[in-house]
Amino acid sequence: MNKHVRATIIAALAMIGFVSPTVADPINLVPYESIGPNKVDFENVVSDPPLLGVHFDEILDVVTANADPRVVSFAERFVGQTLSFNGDFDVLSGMPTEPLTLQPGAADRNIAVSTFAGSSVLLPYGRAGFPEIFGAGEGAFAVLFPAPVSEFGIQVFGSNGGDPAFVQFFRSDGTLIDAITVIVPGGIGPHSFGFMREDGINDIAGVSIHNRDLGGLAYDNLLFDEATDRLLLAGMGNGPDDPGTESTPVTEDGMATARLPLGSTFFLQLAEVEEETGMPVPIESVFTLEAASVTPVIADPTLFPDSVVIEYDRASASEIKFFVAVHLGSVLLNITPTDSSVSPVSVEVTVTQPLRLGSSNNRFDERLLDLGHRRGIPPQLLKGQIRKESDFDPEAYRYEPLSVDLEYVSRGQEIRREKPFSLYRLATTDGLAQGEDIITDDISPRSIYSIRRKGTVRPIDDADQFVSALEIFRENDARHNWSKENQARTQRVEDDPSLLDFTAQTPLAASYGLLQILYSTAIAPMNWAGVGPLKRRNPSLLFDTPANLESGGGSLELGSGYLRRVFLKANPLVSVSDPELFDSSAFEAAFERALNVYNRTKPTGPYGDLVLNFSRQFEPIPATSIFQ
Amino acid sequence: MKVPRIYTRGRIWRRLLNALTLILLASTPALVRGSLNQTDKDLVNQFFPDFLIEESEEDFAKGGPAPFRTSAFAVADLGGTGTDLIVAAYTNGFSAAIRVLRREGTAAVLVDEPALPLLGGIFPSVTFRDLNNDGRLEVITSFSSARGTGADWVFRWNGSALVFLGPSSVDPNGDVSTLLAGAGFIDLDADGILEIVNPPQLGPVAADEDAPDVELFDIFGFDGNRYTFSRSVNYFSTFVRNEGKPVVIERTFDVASTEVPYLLEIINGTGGPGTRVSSAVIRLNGEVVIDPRRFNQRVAEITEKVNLLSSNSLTVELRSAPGSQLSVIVAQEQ
Repeated sequence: MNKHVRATIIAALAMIGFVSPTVADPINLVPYESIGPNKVDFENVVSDPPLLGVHFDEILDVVTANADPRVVSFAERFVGQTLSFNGDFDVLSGMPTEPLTLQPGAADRNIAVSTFAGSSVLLPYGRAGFPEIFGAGEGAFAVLFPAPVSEFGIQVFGSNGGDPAFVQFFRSDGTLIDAITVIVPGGIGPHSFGFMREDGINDIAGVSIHNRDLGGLAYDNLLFDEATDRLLLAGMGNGPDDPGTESTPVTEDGMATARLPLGSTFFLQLAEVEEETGMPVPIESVFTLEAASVTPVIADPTLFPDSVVIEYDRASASEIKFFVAVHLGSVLLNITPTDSSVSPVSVEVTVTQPLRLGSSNNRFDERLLDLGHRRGIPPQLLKGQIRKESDFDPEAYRYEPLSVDLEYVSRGQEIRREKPFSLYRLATTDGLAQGEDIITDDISPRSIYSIRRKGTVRPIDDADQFVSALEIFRENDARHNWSKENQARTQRVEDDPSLLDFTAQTPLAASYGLLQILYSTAIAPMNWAGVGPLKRRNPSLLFDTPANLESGGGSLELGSGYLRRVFLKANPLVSVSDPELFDSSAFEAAFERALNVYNRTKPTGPYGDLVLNFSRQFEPIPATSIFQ
Repeated sequence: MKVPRIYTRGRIWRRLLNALTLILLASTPALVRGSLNQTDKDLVNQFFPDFLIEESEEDFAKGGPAPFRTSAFAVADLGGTGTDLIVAAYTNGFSAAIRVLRREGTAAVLVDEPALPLLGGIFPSVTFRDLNNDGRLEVITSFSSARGTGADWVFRWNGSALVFLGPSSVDPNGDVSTLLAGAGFIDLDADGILEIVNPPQLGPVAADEDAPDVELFDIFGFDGNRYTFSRSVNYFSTFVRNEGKPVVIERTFDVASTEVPYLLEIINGTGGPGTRVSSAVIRLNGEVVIDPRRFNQRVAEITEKVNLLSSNSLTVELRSAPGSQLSVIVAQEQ
């Protein structure tokens, strides 16, 4: 959750109508009277305290006045906050340290309980100190609740009017939830203020207040709601201590909802709020997923077709559980504490569309999110593969003279003779006619390569006829490194250069687009249907241009489809219909193997790891908070 | 290559057929298929594994691509017994199988099919080479990947079965996979036994051709039983003198560190007569590092300490007789 810092000037008069703010802030104004049931009225601290009060140099514990009493603690500030002075007034700055702990002020500069308008009130002392009249009410104070709360109310007395009081709300770990400045109207009071946490989150562990009212302020009748017994924590970090962790109170009906972005790895934890510290203590539980509802429904074959999220190490009871979101949709998660005396909780986990994938190269995110859902492949992984293959160039192109043209397009199986390859081939020196459906766009990409003609090295032109694979190999290998990756074929060509003396089928023996799908892979085995009513299968339609993508072309569908299929091949022990994976490393390892098979038809190698590393730059950014 | 084809026979029948195949494979006599006047190609096609067809059909039924099948084969007397064997490699574009067939009259018998669940790829090829200099041919089966270069699986024939000979990894579940992809086979120590040079495995790069690729080449040697890791080097390439005027061939390579000293090793020839280079010029980043005076027919190896840039240009001009060759290795000095 973001650390919100807000300085809101609120005139108390504006609160008379108790109009709730239209925009939800971390802390919002609510009617004072709506808060409860706990109340601190200070009547039980000392009897009949004098006007300047009874001073306490230490932390003051006060028992609430309600039937089910709680102990609330007061002192000058929290450990970690810095005390300075503005004239005689205390000024608090800086952030408390973790865990949130009270810090008394110097001797005679802490807090007192006095009588005001017939009631016992809290009277913090400032720099002038107790029992100086100029010190009374000019000090700061901090209150620590017995457990984190979501609501807080207070009454202020003795204001001269128009001066500010500064209210800061802190979590148990000392982080600031919000800071609000209120303008207290003039008059004896009481001037009542009510505050509520956004969405009722119970994480206000303590509040500090200092003021600049000319005559100082007294405080009374602090109200707060029932402390939460249990919390549900969730986040996309390594655990609850990581930034971004959110929490929500477990309600009486034991139901909660959580929203996580597609592709994210996240944890859920059920915790009990420790009464003394207000800190959450994990509850060991069994986490059980019910049948998932994948929406939108997926018509294509997909990985993990029956899962919205995959639970890691699902056989074990644990204090924390990690999951990965593999499809859009929702699923009910039952959290059953192993201690049968603790009631279970059910969480409706909804996997939502992320806002984007990382913060760079977001042009194709929408398509990748759609593909990620339809393929069951984390979308950031597809984006990482694009980073590796094309660095986001939708018209990236690479001819493969050795591994493709020599091996099976122009030689080997010689698929240039078969349909649909023959429709898009170049005319050859051995008498094959140019394909009837080839267009200039299929020919032009080869201009990135140079040939030597009449002693001059120049890019291949569209009009160049019968450019041989050997010419391209010889003139461009130093830059494109075909020889490096194909040792045996290079040896054969070194032994007998005439092996490459055929017309380079630069349209057919090449890879295209963001995912660098080979034309031959697109046709066989992916059986690309083609584009438009005529089902055209021109190689250039595999570029990921907007027009191609809109009409069913491009590399994304085919490349991700191939990866989906080889995932099954690479991971014979992973049941996609009922995945049992120990942790996120096992999930990543499965995709690493699939990526390596995609690259080299074997599960080992550095390619998969590299793609996974790239994908970490493109983690899904959530569109909403987890607990709404 | 066969064009994509939809198979319509029922799944139950297919499973029964598979079960029968397994039973036949597990017992003698082996599975026999064939009819009159069949070519080797026909026989190979008849033995296309049913499990590959069924796998494709199942995925197609779920909306996946239409079934695809292709195969390649080669024929040789692997055992030196005077009997030719057909080694056929089959794929459905994703999964693959290797089968060894023996002709029997106009039919063929399935005599072996190595159990390799991780075998896969798109377009297969089968070649034979005597790798370990024992007078018998080893089998090199390659399957192209979605990106072109695919894995190479190396076997020897022990008289009744293909035995996996190449460097391998074993999964936690016990499945074996080859480590080789785009590998070269060359005799680096003139003992008649070929070493295996396995190039970097990051795959082709269209994204940024100028981005450094500092992955290493792995060299594997034959230990009398199988190929095992020998060492990693920063660069490896072989150059052969062809007919015609000498040509200058340029290759490039990258290294991760320029702070350490490197050795440029020249392996002259392959041990065979007349394979050594007697004159050549080798330049590194434009500077002559080995001049023609260092070469003659008695020189088997030249080593030169060199400093490298992060990206390096190596040019080789061979001036000796056609057919001669040398290999260049760049490695960190130990």
